[in-house]
Amino acid sequence: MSTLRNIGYRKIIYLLVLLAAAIPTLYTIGLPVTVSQQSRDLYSFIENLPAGSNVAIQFAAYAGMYPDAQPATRAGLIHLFRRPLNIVLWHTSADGPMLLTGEMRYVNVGSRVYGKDYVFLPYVAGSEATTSATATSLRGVFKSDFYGTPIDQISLMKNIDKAEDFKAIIVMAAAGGEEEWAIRQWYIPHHVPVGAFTISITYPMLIPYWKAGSVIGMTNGVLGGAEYETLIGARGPGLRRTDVMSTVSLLYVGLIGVANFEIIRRKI
Amino acid sequence: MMAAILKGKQLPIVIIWIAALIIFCNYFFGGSALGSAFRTLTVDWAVLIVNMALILGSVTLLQRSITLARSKNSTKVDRFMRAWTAFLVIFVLILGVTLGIQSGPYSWMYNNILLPSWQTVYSIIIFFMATAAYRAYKANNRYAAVLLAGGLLVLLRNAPVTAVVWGGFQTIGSWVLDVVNMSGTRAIMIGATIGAISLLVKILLGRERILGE
Amino acid sequence: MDYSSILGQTVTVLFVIMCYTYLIKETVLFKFVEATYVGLGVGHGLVMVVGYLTKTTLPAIQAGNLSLILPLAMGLLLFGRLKRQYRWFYMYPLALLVGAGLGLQIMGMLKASLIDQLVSTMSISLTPDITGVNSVLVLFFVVTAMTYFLFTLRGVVSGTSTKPNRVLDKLRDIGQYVLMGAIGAGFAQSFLGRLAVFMDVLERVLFFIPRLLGLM
Repeated sequence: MSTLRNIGYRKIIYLLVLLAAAIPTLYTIGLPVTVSQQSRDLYSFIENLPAGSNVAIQFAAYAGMYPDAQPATRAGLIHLFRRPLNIVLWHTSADGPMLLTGEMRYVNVGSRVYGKDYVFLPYVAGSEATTSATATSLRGVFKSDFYGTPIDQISLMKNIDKAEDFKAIIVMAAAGGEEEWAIRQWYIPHHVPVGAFTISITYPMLIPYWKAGSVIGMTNGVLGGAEYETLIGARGPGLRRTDVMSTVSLLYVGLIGVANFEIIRRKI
Repeated sequence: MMAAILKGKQLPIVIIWIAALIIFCNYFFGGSALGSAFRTLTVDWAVLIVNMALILGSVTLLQRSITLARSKNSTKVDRFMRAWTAFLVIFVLILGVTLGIQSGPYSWMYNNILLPSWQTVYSIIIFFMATAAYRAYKANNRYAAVLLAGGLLVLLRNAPVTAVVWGGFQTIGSWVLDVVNMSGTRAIMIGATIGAISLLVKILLGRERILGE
Repeated sequence: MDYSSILGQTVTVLFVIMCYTYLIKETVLFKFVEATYVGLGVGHGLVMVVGYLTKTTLPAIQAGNLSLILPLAMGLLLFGRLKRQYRWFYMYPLALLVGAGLGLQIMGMLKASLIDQLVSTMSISLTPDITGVNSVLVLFFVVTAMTYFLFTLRGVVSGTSTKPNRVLDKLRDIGQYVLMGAIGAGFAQSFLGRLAVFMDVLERVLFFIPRLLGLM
């Protein structure tokens, strides 16, 4: 007991957290997840988009919190590229191009042709003004694609320039309020539906927009990623981590319970 | 007199007025070709200035790192770390501009050093949250009890194993998110919007020190 | 697996372990990792922005779009912030950013964050099911939570004094509970986010040896 006291409660808790995360990582069971209505709405919307619809993707991935949005982002890209949609993607975060390169290794573009069916535009510093500028005219913001080809030479971009040319805008992996920019600059003035593959922290802030109809649907961080992987039928990092989510969350609940045990006992 | 006018805050407030009015008029009074052109110009200029502001941020950090690296008041370790930061900023800039971000060395640096380090620093908080859960998250009064209850119910909802044990955890947790949390967030959102409008009025009247004066 | 990949993963694991020494105390190893990622991160941001300017803005100016020269010059005025005597230069581009940013924001916020939210709150359904009950609860919770923020209305003004109003106090109390519940839910979500990042980092370390041996 005195040894434990000497080690200190902090180190014991660190060890418990490490074990609660490491053991399920090494020995996975693969717990299923209950799919939320928000994820279902987003999936249904993308699934029911008519063939040949133009979809804009604002890739706003932020390196620090990216693992939270990664499962949903990857599942979302797989779903979007699986459907016969025309995709125009641009980056509003400096980390986006590097992170997208990593994700595209898992996306099967099939017979889709770059420049004809999908285009990657470069990075532009993200702000509300940028989101508004892209809604007004993509050509005003970007002169070439990510690889340096002038926009006028890209066949897909011949009939695409402003928000009204798109059936939806999907904001992926944003960590700084980009979804609200898209709602204010794409949905409100141009009535383009907004979908979001977002991190856990911003998810609660989007629920009022979802209820009011400003957002078609959104995923809830890594849990939402597991839900979306279930919906598209492709197992990925989200479903792989459901066990760890369970054990560490339960450990956390246990720690709070132990901390409040005395208070509850006194009250009873 | 010219210098006093240029250094004063009146001209910048006029610029704020013009920029805000162009956008409001175009939105509320329908888009004439001229109005749309002005609006596009204003917004495109703002995009460019935002990009320049990012460069300013980086240059400010570089300037600060170099100053601290030369300062005699800090320890040797701190001076070395500041110098190391400044060196890396310049090194990465040269590497990125000459070889490009898709090149082997740049990708290697990004994927094996920057990304893991950044994510590790963000992940450390989970340990501190766990110790805080044991030490600080105590329901000493009713409000703290409600805060904890809300947090615990959502935590249980987010743990997939609870759906296997009892489906009620998912239902109750979703209710907390979709009703309680949504109501609170909505109230804050409405209040923030009204606050933003009053802030805009204060800025337009020059009563807000927003320009660093 | 090639050597650069082996070296890369080894460096990754080393950096992760060095960073976690912070859990014991703030060590030189942690400071080194912190200095490294700040330097690399800022450098990377600079590379991306310089790339945008050289690939989009400068070619556009060279192609004849001279209207971009003025905002570029205004952007350069931002650097006046670095020297005290030229600090006033910085106000001009900032004024444009503030004006445009506020204009764009307020324009969208009025509809998305105010009108639509009020309409959604007041759209109650009086059906005798969970949806109907929830819609009434949402209306009640939003009104009580907003009452909490009425700092200027504390009671009933009577002459020169303000008498506390029981109804208002009760509504404010309920509003405070609602906000506490909302904050609690937000905290649980923030925990999930940090946990997700930790899981990714832990996988890099745990699967390092199996990957090295070609088992994964």
